[in-house]
Amino acid sequence: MLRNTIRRPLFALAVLSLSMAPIAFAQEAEMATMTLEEVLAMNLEAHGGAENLAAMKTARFTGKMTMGPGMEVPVVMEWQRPNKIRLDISIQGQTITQAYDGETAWAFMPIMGKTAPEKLPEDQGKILVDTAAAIEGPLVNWKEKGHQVEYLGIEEVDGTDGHKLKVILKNGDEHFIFLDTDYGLEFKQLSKTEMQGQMIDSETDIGDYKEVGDLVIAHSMESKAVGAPSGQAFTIEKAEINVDLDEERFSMPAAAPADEDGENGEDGEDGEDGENSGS
Amino acid sequence: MRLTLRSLLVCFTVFAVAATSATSANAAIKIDSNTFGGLQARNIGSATMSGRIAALDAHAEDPLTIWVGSATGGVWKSTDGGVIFRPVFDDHTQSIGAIRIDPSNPETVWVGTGETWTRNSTSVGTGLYRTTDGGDSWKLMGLANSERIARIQVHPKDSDTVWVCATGQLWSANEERGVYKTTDGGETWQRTLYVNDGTGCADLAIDPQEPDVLYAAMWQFRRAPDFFNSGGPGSGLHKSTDGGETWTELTQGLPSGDKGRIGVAVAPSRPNVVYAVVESKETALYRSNDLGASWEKINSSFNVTARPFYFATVIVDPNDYKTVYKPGLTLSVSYDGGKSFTSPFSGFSFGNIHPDHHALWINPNNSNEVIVGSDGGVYISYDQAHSWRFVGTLPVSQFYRVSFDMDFPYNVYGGLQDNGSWMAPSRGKTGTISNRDWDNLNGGDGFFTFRDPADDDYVYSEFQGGNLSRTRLSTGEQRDIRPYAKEGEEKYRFNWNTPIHLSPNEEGTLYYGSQYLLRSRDHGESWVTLSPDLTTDDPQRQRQAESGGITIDNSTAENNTTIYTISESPVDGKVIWVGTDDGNVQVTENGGESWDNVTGNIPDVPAGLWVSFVEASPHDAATAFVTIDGHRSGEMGTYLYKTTDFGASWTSLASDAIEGYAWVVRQDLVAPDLLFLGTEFGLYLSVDGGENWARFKGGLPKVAVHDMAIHPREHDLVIGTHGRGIYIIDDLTPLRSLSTEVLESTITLLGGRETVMVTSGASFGFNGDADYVALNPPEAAVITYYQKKRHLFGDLKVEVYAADGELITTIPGSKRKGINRVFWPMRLAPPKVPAASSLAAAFVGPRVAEGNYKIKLQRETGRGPTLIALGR
Repeated sequence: MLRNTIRRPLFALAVLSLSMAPIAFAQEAEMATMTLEEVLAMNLEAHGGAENLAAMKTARFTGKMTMGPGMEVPVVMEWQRPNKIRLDISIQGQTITQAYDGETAWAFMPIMGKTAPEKLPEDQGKILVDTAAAIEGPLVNWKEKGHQVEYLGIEEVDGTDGHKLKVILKNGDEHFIFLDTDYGLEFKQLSKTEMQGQMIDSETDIGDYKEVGDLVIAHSMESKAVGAPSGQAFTIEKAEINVDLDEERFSMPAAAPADEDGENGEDGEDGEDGENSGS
Repeated sequence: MRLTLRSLLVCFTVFAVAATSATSANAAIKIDSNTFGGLQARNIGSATMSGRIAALDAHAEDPLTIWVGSATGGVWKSTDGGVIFRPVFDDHTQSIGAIRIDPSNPETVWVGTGETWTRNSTSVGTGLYRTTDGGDSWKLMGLANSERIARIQVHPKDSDTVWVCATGQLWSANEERGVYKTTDGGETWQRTLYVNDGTGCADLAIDPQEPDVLYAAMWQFRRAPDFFNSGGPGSGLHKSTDGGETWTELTQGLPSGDKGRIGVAVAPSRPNVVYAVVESKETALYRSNDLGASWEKINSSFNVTARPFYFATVIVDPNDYKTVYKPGLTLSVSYDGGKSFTSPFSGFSFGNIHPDHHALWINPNNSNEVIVGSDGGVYISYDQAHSWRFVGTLPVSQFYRVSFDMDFPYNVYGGLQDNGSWMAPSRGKTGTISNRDWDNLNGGDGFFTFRDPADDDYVYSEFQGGNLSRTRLSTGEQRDIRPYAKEGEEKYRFNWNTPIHLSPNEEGTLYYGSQYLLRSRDHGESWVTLSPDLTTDDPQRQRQAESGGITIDNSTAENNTTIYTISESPVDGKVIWVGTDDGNVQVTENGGESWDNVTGNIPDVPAGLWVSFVEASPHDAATAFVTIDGHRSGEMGTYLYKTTDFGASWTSLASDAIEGYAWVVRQDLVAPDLLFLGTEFGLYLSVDGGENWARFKGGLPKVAVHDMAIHPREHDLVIGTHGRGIYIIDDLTPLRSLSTEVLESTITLLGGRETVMVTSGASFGFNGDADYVALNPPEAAVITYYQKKRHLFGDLKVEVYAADGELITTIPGSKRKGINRVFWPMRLAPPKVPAASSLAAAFVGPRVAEGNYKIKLQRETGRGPTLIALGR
């Protein structure tokens, strides 16, 4: 279970704007006739516009992962545009590190008896790559990223109306993303993702949005398999934007074995892993 | 259960800050399904006995994908050859009549709702549905009033051309029945074959080589509460040679008089050969070698004649026109073109599988691979139906009744359609409830099942038609305790589903209902009669022996003018209510010395409708609730009434928010305004005494709820569904505090039961994935709160403090609208362990001490924290 949890990526952090007031066109009569472009504009407007979002060059999120009742571990996630990522997870006095520097996905797992960092197998690396690319969410610049996005209108989910978007990622994963009708913030995602050859249905609740610099960031993501009573929650306790990050932190330390067979996960695109597939 | 559990009490005494005043009983509380939000019902199965399968289909190019249509438990899909099945149709009626995969596009599947194996307990459909994404989403494609659909055929080369065999309504006349055709993918439909408003389509076969050639079996049939008729002048076999535009009745060689139900099949490998099993005075299998022009009677053995209305289907091996399967009481097969059949009745056994077969699929690419759907689930064979693997992941069990005992953990009991009576723990001892946790208690069709509170070694159960028995759990000994008429009494008439009732006031007092109310105080050894005949005793409703139509079908399923529901007042044991299947509600206030027939006081209900449930109020002796179910008379409305004056006057509690005819009503044991109603289309709740209702959707499909019981110690609602097994809503106490003030509050912490610390036993079984596994209640304290609106900005978290004020843990809050639940495992932080090269088994901390803990629910609004509610 733990091993799987460590491999599991953090859910994409939807990054949204300062604007907490409902924006003008979010009136019911007009919502009914909104187009995909308008809904995405609302979402991007909530991002603070492309400019503020693009100004985010690095980020560090410090928080905890709850893997089940009573089981939680401290997590630090660092990110650098466009696709570098590093995860440090503290367990039983050791730190497990997974990272991707844009070319190589690697991990150092002293707790698994490892004495040196190792390159990750492709399917594990892909998850990291997808997570790195998904920090700002798949809706931002979706065309450039090769995704398909379709607006399906307003639909209720868990009792709350949302703008429903069908998103097919370049890698084939399928998501329904619900944006709240007042602000355009993501609050629910239903996912159909391929994990180890199986299609897994999962659902994610997104919330606890807070201001961080010029942006608003969801501080809580809880994912579970559809039908399960509970799942896995990532709670951010501290979010920092444009912190100084040493570029070297993303690269596999030199002590690691030489790269033999090319790169990992270079096919990875924006995507969120929906659910772990058990251990 | 014989568990040793380490138990410890942790008490939360939670009070809601936001709820400041008492509820006004008359206030209109607007609830909807989302009010109950994150309150989830937990299915405990079982799949060990599964349930009736009405239809199934698979695709030759992808035989690992199997679609199953349950009679009352929805549509299920497997993508791994039948190891794991998942439900894909939970938001719609669970009664399935037909499934057809589009041969040209296997992601497109048509589902005809409404089972056509029209036994007494069958459900109703709501039309024709289609998915184009493999079952993720469904669209209603029409025929919403057809009630039942027997078969769907999709053109082998044109996905837009589809024929539907609509059987129509069972208990009344209607015109939406016959053969329908679309050539535009279901946008528009033409009814191309119609006989009359009592005759529908029962089978539809297509010539796979020449799809313009179709054969349609038309069937005249009707049910009443007390009678069934199969057959009449409307029945007949018809053929089209122009793609179903026009039809001609086939007669040459077929029986000339009235016919009943007909099943028809084309031999795919030689389509000039057509088989038809035809119900008539001399029911037989007929064969045509000339595309239906002429027919020859070739077999009339029991293999092909048993219960024609229930088994009218015949399937030809896709690769051999002489190999013919006849699903029926057992699965029979002919290898000589129908001349002879093998089955257990002719000295050949097909193995240990549940009898009563309705659906069969043979892999066109491998005739050895056969899937059969029975009254007890799905079986798969890889050796041409000689040996079978049971599918253990289809929890479509059809419970009629449920009950519980007072063990810890308590056990659940219930009886099922054609699958006996069973018991199972509400909490499995190794952390889950799996198929093997279910113990069989009795056979046949099972109904009421009760642990005897006066001697917990006894369990009472029954099979159809009043066959009551008592089982000794410690030895398995079973004794027949069915009462028989005493001198001066008429022969007892027992319902198919005969009521057993335990006195809530006197342990060991047992009631049983024939046309008389009977009572035993010696574990069923002897019975006294407490009433005169409480039914109408209408001889017109006592025709069981003549029921069936062309083929007499005397199974006790049409027994009528019997007592169907009994309820002794928990407040006053001399007050006993009785409801009968022919419309009477009777009450005694003196323990049976005299009875009042209060039927006439119930307003706005047609006479003679089935009284499905009487619930004596647990709070007031003069108060009772009654549900009346008219579906067997073609009255599909919801009838729910309440009296507060021993039946002198009644008020309807039905509302437009309720869908489906009513089976059961329960009043909460603690909060009188909290009501639970089970209908054909799910569970409905009211928190204001029946003014407003909303469907409970949390984890519970739109399945028929036939019975419910509230556990007085655990405060659980045990739900018996007829098609999806048993569900439990663990700890319904939060529902008791849903006052107007709470419902209108931004956020309110709700009370819960005391939590018992439970640690599961170890398990060392590795059984693969082929068994259904149900979840236990969480090994955690459940913290429940309500919020009016979904939480979006700022923190939402639950903090747990010890009595001395020390913060023990912080739990991320659940965010949805309505009721939310989070789980505290009642543990301290994990121990610190030295850094090492392997993980220590120390992921969770020790359990906290028994005692009271304080809960803080913190919800920010974006402008700083707001402390909302505290518990102690």
